[in-house]
Formats: sequence, structure tokens, C-alpha cells
Amino acid sequence: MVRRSTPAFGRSAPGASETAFERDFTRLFHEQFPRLFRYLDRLAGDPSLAADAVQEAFVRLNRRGEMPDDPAAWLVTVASNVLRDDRRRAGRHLRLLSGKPDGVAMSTPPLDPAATLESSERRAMVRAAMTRLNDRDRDALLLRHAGYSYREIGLALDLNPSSVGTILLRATAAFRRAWEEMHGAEH
Amino acid sequence: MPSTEMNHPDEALLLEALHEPAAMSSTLRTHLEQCAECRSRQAQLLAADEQVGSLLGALDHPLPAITPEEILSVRPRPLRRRALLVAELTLFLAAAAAAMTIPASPVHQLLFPTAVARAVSTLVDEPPVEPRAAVAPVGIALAAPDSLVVAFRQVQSTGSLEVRLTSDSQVTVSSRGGTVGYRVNEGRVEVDNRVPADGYVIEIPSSLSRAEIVMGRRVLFSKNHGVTTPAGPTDGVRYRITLADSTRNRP
Repeated sequence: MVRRSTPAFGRSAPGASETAFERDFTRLFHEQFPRLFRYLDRLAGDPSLAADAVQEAFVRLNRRGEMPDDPAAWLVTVASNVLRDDRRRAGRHLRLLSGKPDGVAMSTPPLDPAATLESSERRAMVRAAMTRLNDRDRDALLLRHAGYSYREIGLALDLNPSSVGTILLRATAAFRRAWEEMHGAEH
Repeated sequence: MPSTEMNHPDEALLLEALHEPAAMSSTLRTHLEQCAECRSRQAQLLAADEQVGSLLGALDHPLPAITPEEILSVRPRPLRRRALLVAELTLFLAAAAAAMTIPASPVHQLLFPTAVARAVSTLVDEPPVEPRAAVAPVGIALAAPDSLVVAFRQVQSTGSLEVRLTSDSQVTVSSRGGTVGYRVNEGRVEVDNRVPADGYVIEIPSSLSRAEIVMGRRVLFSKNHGVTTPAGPTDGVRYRITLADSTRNRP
């Protein structure tokens, strides 16, 4: 079941005015791109891989030519599958919650080596803490903290929305517990 | 318990009220206004939630510079199914037309039985000709899928199949003589050989990990990574398979 925002063959020719689908697409892109990238970036630990997956999901939506019922959940599902397939196909060693340090391009780059080391260690510990969660709890927690609603999380992860709160509560507690154990062991 | 109209909500409900306050019921809102204990529990949940959010933020990278216009500039794929259908139909018609022009072909005999009989009777003294030798092979080519199955629609007890392993990245299936149609669907090629050809040639990239060619219940050829059945090519990279025993059961 899809919501058809434009007639099946109603795309504009190059240079023609924007179609309804293109308007919807542009609006959706600006709404969804930042949080979808944030989710996949945190999940993958590889910004270029995350960017590729997000871009591919939007390319597929464009090829589809019509909006799904719930575009946000659809994009999460497609981009997650693309990320998984890319990893499998290319045999890339994704630093998927492996506890290994990320790249250094952070939004607020540390200015000195000590700060770089501290930041890198912190990321490694956060990733290590995430490995203590099962996949479903981890994905729900990452989606929530990327800005997705309970309904969208339920659709994307095929969960009953009424159980999302319980899952988030458990995931939050497990993550904090793991973090505190590691942080305590460090100091 | 304070004078509220509900029991103390559990942590999951308190957390949900933090995350999605617009969806909070008026009963819960009233309870929270009146119950200091629940407000305290909710404050603890908020602190925990903010701590997790802050820690996850350490993983973030800057947003890549991608615009919707770039993606919209990628033209949608042409209507693939329709194009395939048209290609199939064109191939089938071309094969049929080619077969129809060959006097000895089953199609020609079907359409012009008396003409064939008359021609045979009048040409009986003339030297024999080999019209089929001039027939060009007709077939299809497709990008190699991850796994390939070529299935002949009908068992035939004459003719031959040649399988070639190539260094190319395409799969080709072709036939010589007969009136053969092809249907391609996600790694599966169906060969409609109800009017059978004398010979078929199937070219498979040697890099393809899995391939299987079946006729009826018989597996004519299979490739599973480096292992092929028949075990070895009869001529370098070619496998020549006779179709005479196609009725044999598949193992």
C-alpha cells in the first residue's frame, strides 16, 4: 500500500517544473537525512559507509517514484539493509560497535594530542558499552537518540509501539551499567 | 499515596511521557502534578536519558554534504519489466520469423504443410540442401547474477548443449534452429523450447559461484564454486552435453 504523490508517469522532464513527488522528496530529505545519518553513523562507526547507505536509500526512493506509507521507517529499513549488504559484499571491516576507535573527523575536533586520545578512548568505551546490548535494544536506543518517535521505531524494527518504552528503559539501564563498569575500571 | 486517580506509573510509562509529552494522557499528567515521588523518579530517568544521549553524541561525525537535487538528478530506471517483456516478445517473434523461413522447420511445416509436401515432391531429384546450417543463433545476454538457473521448459530427446566458461561478466543463452523463447527473472532463465532447437550454447562467467542448467528433472550441468558437474570440460573450457537422455531423473 503506497501513497501516490504523483501519477505513475508524472515525473517532470529535465528542465521542467518540479513535480509533486519531487517536492515531497525534497521536504522529506531535509527532514530525514540528518537523523538517518546520525543513526547509521553511530551504528556503523564509519561516516562514509553511513553516508553511502543513506544516499542509496534516497536514490531508491527516487527510483520508486512514490512515497511509502511511512517514509521515515521505510528509509531506516532500506538504509539499514544497504549498510548490512555493503558490509557483507565488500568485506569491509566495519567497526560496528567493536570497541575500536573511529576516524578522527568529529564535529568538534580536539585541538591537542591529549584531547584526541581522550576523545578516541571515550568513543571506544561508548562502542564497547553498546556491544553489551542485544541488537534490538541497541537499534531502538540509537533510533530514539537520533530523534525517532516510538511509532517510527516500532515500524522500523517491527515492534509493537507499546513495547518500545520498555525496550528503551532496559536498553538505557544496560548501557549505563556497562558504561559505569568500564568507566570504573578505567579509574 | 497522594490523592491521584491512578496508581504510580511504571518507569517505562514515565520515560515515554518524557520522550513524547504530547501523547501523555491527562490522567498521567494530573498524577505527575500531584505526586512528588513520581516526579522524582521521572527526573532520575531524565538524567539517565541525557547521560546516554551525551555519550552517544561522542560518536557523531559531521553531516556529509549531499543535496536532494543531486539524488533527484539520478534518473529513475526505465520500466525494466516492460522493457524485458518487449525484448522477450521481440526475440520470440524474430526467432519465429527465422524458423518460418526455413522450409524444413517444424513451424514452416505447421504453417505450410501442403507447400512443403509439394516442394518435397518436386525437389526430390535436386541435390539436398542444409538450410539449418545457415541459421544464425538466436539468444539473450544478461549481466551475471549471484546465482544462475537455466531451466528448459520441455524435455527434448534430440540435440545438444554446449556450456562454455568464459572470462566475460555476462551470461548468454542461445539456440540454433527451432523456435525458442526466453524469459528472464532474477537469476533464472527459462528457455521455452516447445519447438526445440538443434543445439544450445550457454556461456557462463567462470567467476560465477553457482549455476545450474536443468531440463525436466535432469541436471545437465551444475557449478558450485570450483566444482562442476560434469566433472571436467571436454575441450578446454567447453562442456558438450547430449540431450538424448534428458528423461533421466534428477539425482
